[in-house]
Amino acid sequence: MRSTFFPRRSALLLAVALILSACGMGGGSSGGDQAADAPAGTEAGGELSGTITFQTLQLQPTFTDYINGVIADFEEQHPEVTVEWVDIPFEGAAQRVITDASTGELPDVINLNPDFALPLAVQGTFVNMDEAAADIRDQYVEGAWNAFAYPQLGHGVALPWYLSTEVTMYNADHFEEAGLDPETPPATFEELYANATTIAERTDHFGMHPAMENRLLIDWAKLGVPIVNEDGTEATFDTPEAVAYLEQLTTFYEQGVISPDSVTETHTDEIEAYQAGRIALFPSGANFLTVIEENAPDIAAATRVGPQITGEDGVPGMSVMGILVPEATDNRAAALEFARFMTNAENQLAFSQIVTILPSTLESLEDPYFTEVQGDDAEAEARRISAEQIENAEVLRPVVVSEEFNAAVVDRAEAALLGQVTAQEAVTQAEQAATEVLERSAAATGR
Amino acid sequence: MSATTAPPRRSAQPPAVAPARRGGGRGRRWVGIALRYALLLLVLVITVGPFVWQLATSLKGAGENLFANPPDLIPNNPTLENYAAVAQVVPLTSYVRNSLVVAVASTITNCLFGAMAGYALARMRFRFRGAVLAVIVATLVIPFEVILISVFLITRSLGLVNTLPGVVLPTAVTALSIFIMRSGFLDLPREVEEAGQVDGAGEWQLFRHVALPSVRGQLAVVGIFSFTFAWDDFLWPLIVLRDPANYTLTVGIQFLSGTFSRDQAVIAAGTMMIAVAPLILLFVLLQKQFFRGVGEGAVKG
Repeated sequence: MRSTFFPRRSALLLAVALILSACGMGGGSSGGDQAADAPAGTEAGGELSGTITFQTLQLQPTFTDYINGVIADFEEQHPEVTVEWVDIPFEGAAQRVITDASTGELPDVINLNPDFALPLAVQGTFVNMDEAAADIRDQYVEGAWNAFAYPQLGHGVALPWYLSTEVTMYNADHFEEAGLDPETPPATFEELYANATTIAERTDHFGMHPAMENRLLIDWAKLGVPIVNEDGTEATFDTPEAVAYLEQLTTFYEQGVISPDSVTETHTDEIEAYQAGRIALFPSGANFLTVIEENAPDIAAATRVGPQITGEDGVPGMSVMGILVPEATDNRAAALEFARFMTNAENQLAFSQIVTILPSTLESLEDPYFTEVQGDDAEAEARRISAEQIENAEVLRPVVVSEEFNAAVVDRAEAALLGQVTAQEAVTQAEQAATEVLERSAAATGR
Repeated sequence: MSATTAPPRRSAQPPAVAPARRGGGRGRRWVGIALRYALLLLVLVITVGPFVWQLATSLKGAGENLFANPPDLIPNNPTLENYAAVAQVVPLTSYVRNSLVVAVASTITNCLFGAMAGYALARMRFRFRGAVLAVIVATLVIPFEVILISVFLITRSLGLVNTLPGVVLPTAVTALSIFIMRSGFLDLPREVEEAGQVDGAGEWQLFRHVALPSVRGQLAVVGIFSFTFAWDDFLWPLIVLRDPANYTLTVGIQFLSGTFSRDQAVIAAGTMMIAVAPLILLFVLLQKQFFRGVGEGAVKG
């Protein structure tokens, strides 16, 4: 759920974290695969056998054929292995995974994002990929690998799978209406603010949407604000840059550059507002172009794409999906082999050609599909820009930042925008609240 | 408890009309009526508005902006394609069947066990009755997330994981059902049962033939509540059902919105089915009881 660009729906992570801390993480085998009884722990070279379960996050029905195809290829290479695929909805996935972990029902291979994996990973639930996949580590985008290398652990626990990176989508009609050049998207925060102000002043539309629940910490990180200290035990974002950012948004709220109701709204509302033509600028994952096309064809036709707005260091942000293998699997060798197969360059390239996502393997990114993009529609442009950005991209929101942490900060930021406290007060109070969240979760996980 | 069902509708009438009559003047009466209808219309817009938007969205064809501002409630190219698309994307019939099995079973068990427990707590005398009632009521405030894992472990040790009985079991009888039924039995005049006792009826006969027929209103409320709760429940079915073929409608319908696509029209068509199907069914089945209430007395005066 950390991801800026994949859909965000969970609101119950806090409850989940509490349940987790109340229950020991039971070991035990994954349920229902008696076929794996035979010792399948043969190391590389030996013939793999048995049944493994592979669980993904809401890829049906769009990618049913693709996933089944990859599974069929794998089973052809390893005739003794049977892969059972289970796809669960995104909504409720966090609770499902936590329950499964506590009761020993986890699958053998599991697809998670860094947020879902965090509470389990710090308990040592997953296989250390720095060791188990040391030979292929440098084939993946560095930042994506690091997204699953939690500081509490000191090693990675996932093979990176598909990625998404932010681009700046904007409504060219609104730009023209405001007398701005529709071919020149904003590249810096200053330009973004200037464009948003101009559009709000000269047209009936709002300039942008703060979607703070989703963007606040990431934008701070881009502006060089240190969110937490090195070992992730304290919040450290009380800086002049953070205060200035909030002051800017407060001014926008007062001037009507952002809509009054957007102060407390989320990324989902931002997408809807953009699709309704209420806002002109929409920085988000390129994958949302598909969504806009489905729901608002007229807006999609007016949409152009520019590169991600970054801070001075120019490091773009991204969001990541990974494939993990729980320690409790009773068919570790086959599970690891399947995780490698699913995330290899060839299979990821095929995946990224179905939808506007990016592969996490460097080799696939060198493919002409990304380097020599044909066509000049928004989607092709987004693909070219994304692929250029991704190699240097990092997950900007620190991995220790939980939903609860984020909520504590956003709560104070909203108070600042509404004029209940000053920006400086809000940032100071938020830092204190966020540090308390970190301390509490540290106590809960017994670090 | 009957007070929460039918009577408010009835009692709302006389006071609203009476002052208008007392006022005498024709103008004031019209103002009163206009005001009343304005308020009713406002509530109608608030409660029915989102529903209408959803219905309109589900009927819109490709190429229409679903998020147009202001909302466009009349589809340009009305189509039922989205409903067909729902059935293509997910195995709708089996999901609906699973949901129906779960909801109907839950309704039956809640009515049956809720009535039995409610009757015992209202009418029978036994030790710790107060304590039992307190424990049952206390469970009302425990969030399900907190007991999720232990409930799952119990369900698994009963061998009910990945089965529909496993979905029904944790809510087979809820504290709310017991509480509603108990209140219903408490409201009955004791004289009827005493008369039954004089005629020689045993405890079971009193329950089955005297008390139960008098609380149809409460039974309808419990039935409707437990049906809609079971029909709408999402988290528990998701956790306990491992095989996608066994998913209930609320879980299965999630797959209408993929990770990378969100065709709002198809999603709307899917959610309309969730919302509308049980409503129609419930109204056909329970309308009479729901409005009848309890007041049709066995004892006059």
